[in-house]
Amino acid sequence: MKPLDLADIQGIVLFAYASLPHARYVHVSWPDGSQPSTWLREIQHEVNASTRGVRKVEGRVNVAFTHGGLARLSLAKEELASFPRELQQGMNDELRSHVLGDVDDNAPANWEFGGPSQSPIHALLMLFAKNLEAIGELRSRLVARVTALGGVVAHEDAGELRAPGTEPFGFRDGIVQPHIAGTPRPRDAGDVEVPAGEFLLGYPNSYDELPPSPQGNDGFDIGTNGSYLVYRKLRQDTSGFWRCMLERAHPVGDPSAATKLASAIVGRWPSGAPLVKYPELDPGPGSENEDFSFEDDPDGMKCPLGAHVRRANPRDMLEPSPSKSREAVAHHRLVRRGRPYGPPAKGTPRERAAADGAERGLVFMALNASFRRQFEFIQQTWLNNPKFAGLYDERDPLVASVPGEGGQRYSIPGIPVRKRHAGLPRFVTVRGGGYFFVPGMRALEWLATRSAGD
Amino acid sequence: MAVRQQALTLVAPVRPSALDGLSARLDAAESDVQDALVAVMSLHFARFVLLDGPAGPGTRLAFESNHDGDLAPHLASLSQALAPFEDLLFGSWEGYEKGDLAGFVDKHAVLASTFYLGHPGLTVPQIHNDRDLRLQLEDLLDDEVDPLDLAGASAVDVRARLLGRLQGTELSTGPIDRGLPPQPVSTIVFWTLVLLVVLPLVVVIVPLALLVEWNERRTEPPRELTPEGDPRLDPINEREDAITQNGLTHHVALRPGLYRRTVFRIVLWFLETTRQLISYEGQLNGIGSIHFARWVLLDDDSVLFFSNYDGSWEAYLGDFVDKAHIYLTAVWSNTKWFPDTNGLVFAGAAKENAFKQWTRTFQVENRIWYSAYKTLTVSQVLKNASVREGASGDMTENEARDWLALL
Repeated sequence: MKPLDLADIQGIVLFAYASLPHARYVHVSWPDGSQPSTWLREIQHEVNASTRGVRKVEGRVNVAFTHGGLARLSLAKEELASFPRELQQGMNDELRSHVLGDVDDNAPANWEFGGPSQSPIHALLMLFAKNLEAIGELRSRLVARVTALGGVVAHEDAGELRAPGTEPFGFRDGIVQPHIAGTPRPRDAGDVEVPAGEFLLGYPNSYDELPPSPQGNDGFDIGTNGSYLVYRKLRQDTSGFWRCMLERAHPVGDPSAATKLASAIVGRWPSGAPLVKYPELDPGPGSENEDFSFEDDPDGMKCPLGAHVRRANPRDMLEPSPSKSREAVAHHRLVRRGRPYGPPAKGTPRERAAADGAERGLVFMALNASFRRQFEFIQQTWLNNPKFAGLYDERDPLVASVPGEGGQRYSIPGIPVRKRHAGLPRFVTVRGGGYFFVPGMRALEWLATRSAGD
Repeated sequence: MAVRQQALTLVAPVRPSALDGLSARLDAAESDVQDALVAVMSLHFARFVLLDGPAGPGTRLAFESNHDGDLAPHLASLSQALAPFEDLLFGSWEGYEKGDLAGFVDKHAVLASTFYLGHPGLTVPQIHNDRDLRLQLEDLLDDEVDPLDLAGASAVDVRARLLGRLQGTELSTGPIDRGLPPQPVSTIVFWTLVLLVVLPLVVVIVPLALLVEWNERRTEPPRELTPEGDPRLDPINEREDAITQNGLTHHVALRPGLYRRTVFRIVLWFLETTRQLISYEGQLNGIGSIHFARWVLLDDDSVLFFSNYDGSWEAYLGDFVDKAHIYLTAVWSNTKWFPDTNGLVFAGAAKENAFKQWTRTFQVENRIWYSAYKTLTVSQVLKNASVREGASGDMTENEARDWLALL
């Protein structure tokens, strides 16, 4: 196995920076006459690689570019054409929306940023620090350099990691991550090792091939040690979600019945314990990392066939056999780097159901080597597919971006008959996003010198 | 009596006088033609595509239909339904005589070298019947039965209540004769037979293949595959994944030489023979998403592939690579610019990225594409048939429970 060139890989690709809970995501636009190349030459030495420093870490800086951003750095036409089609088109492109299911309220035309008629996003600064003060300083310092050279902050999000890793609906999140082969940290229980080439260009992927890599006209391999980043700001209607759960609970309004229904939608209990292993009761914290299989639950009696955990990672449940399924699923994995935004939602189902007017959700970030085969595939073939797992007309009950007419349906198998919920509202709305290239450190240097002076 | 599903393929040159703007005229007529085809009750899937350039000299118009039962009544029904479009569609063919589709078929129909069927023996009206029956039962369950009141009720009782509510429906229930082979050949017997026939061939073909592959790598000009972001793919992408199903059209020339021509024929003969012997319903090498697919060898030594499949292109091609790459490599390695292979069946379609790019390069945009049951996957067609089959007669508690689980 080819060892990872840690000094050339940006830290965000291999690390979640769990010890740096505060993040700022600064979306930068470079108008005509601004100097993005100068800026990149100035800041490239502040960008952090994956090598672990001995010094006490105060903050981390990573940077990524949209296809438009690469064009701003004066790449040649043929060089730009060697990037994947999805990056060239961008997340807000009509074809991409078609594949991603970004229609109606989720359509790019309704986004808060990154939409077709908004300032084009060229670069994304990802900043991480230990506390609010440190992140504030880091942010002002780096934004000052952007604005000094004519750049504009087009949008900014704040993400915050919260112990113990709970997402705004109230469920443990970020439990399973593929373990990138060669990463210098031990593998967590339940995590599957995945070839580095699924997330990093320049390494063999799950087909034992090198992923296609963008090329410079001077023979420089732009892709090596780089990755592709999906950025999506997802608003979560937490009060709407819990109101709906309470209304549909049996008996109506019963908090533990509401939690049970919500867990049947997620496929895990709030503690993260998987329903296939604990179908009746939440065993509490400590079971979230257990590995599990859907083999013993082919009819979805314990964990419904359309539950979010099944759609996001079908494990061994796909046709024609468990081993073939695991093989196929290995071609569609993501490394997730998302963080919640907005004030934390806390309390009982009833407290969560009371609307406080605050916007909260997830800054979803994921890394892959192929948008098409990984992120878009999961979105299209698993989450938004109305025919997933032999279902007739249902999408992911938690995150699907295309509600059917009259709302979503969701079937919970049972004996003697299933209970089918109809008219479920959408709980998650896309607020904006983009496709980015996360260059390796040498590629950053190469990119910074395409234009002698701008 | 069981009704057999059949494949009809017509490929013929376009009359020069019809070439002008033909692709645009076909595109414009698509939705009207789709509406008209609903009247053809024997038709599952159909398409019209232009081969060899959108509308240049040498352009051919190809038509496929996947139909129930005998050809003559199917053609009569097609001619009648498409009469308003006769000049545009059939009339664009060189040598077509007005009103004589059957005569044209006699001269220009091409036999499929291999034809795969995902749900054999189910006619279009039967598939519609089964779909409507399942929908009625689902509605009954949703609106008239509260599952929570049923907790603890016996499955036999629940089924009886449901079927009692169905009374008065005109939909048919109970088993039908689908003409499936009564007992599939046992796997061991089958593979022994295959080995006896194939082994001698393999001993000859594989060493030859290695030699031919080596020589081709040395002498063939470099591949010119469609690059990332080529706008030629946009219209194809725009058509894809609009409904549950997709129609893939792929057209590529055979590699030159006697070896490639011969091996291609042997491989397709082998696939067609095994298909007829094995009980293959619903799944082809673990791929459960294909309604109908065919390979057709045209007289100019080019290979046409039509597939009507469920789900996204990316998922379908992923299945090809993950589950069927050996068979596909054996077939398509004999064609132009196919990714490098090893001994006829290895590498090739197992090279994910190269294989997908090659497929896109020779993918042809459908001009008119029709499905008689747009919302159904193969597995749903089969599941609905099981629902219908179990909607009459008596059942034990366990049988009733399994049947209710289909809803």
